[in-house]
Amino acid sequence: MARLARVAATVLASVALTSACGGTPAAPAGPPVASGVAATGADSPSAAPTGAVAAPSPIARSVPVRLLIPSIGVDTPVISLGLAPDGTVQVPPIEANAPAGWYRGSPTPGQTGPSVILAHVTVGRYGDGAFLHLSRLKVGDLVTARLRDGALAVFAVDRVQTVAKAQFPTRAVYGNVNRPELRLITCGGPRDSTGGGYLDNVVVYASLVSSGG
Amino acid sequence: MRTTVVAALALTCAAVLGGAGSAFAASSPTAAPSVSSPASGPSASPSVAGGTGGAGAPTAQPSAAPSQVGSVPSGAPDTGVPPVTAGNGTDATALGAEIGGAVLVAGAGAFVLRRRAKARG
Repeated sequence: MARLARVAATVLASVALTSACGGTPAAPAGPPVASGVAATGADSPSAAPTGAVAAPSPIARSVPVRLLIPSIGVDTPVISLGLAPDGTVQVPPIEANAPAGWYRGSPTPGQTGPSVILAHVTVGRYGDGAFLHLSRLKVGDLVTARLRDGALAVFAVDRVQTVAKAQFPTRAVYGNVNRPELRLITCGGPRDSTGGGYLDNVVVYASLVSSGG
Repeated sequence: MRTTVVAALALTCAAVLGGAGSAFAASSPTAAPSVSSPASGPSASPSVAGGTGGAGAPTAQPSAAPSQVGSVPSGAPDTGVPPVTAGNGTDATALGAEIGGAVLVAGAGAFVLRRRAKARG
């Protein structure tokens, strides 16, 4: 009898051990899963999703009529620009107080995609252009586009780039993006030694931070 | 007799525990599949990694984003006409030449007038 009881105890103990060993691996298997997911999130989605979540949702399409950049004293009307016959983007007229121009082939400010607005840095004998100090913008500076329907689209500067015209970053400027963004473009840098125009472009990349109106 | 009952009970418990153990074992495989679900995570990451900066994203966007730039302009925009007045060397030279020319013309005119006056006596 006693022997039988001993056998039973042994069986019980071994079964308990076996089940414990079986459960442990499952747990380790869990952590790797978690780390794998975390890694995945860190690699890609983490950046995009968090940004997407933080970014305000796009606003209704409406043509921009005014542009305000308080940090560099810009408060200018915005006209609509198309393509020139040679395929380049039209630019605002050469005149006193030349306005900025929104490229109508791009999304309106606040829509998903890169909305493109251009203005002169200088306007020949008319003096300074609306974007004279565009290159002075800093990350975080605010840019507000007032739309025809009264809405305001407020963007924060992400980066400022001065680049040779010969290496104009077409894809970065006009390429698709997954949130409402803004591109401000003007000329800058040194001037052509032959008395021509500027050799560089100044491009400001900004993203929507709020909307209202 | 009592010991026999105890032993039988112990054996029954052992059998039940053994079954539970195998059940846990079975459940751990189901957890493993959840490991394979992370595998689906990686599959998502590559696409983003394929984004390799955005190459993947843009290709995904076009179909779903009618609001993006339709016809991409070529070249760089010419958004700056250099100021005419300020510090442009060629402008200053031209201005100097104009002034010099005017002085010469005026001098020549004065010379001619004086000479005519002399000739008349």
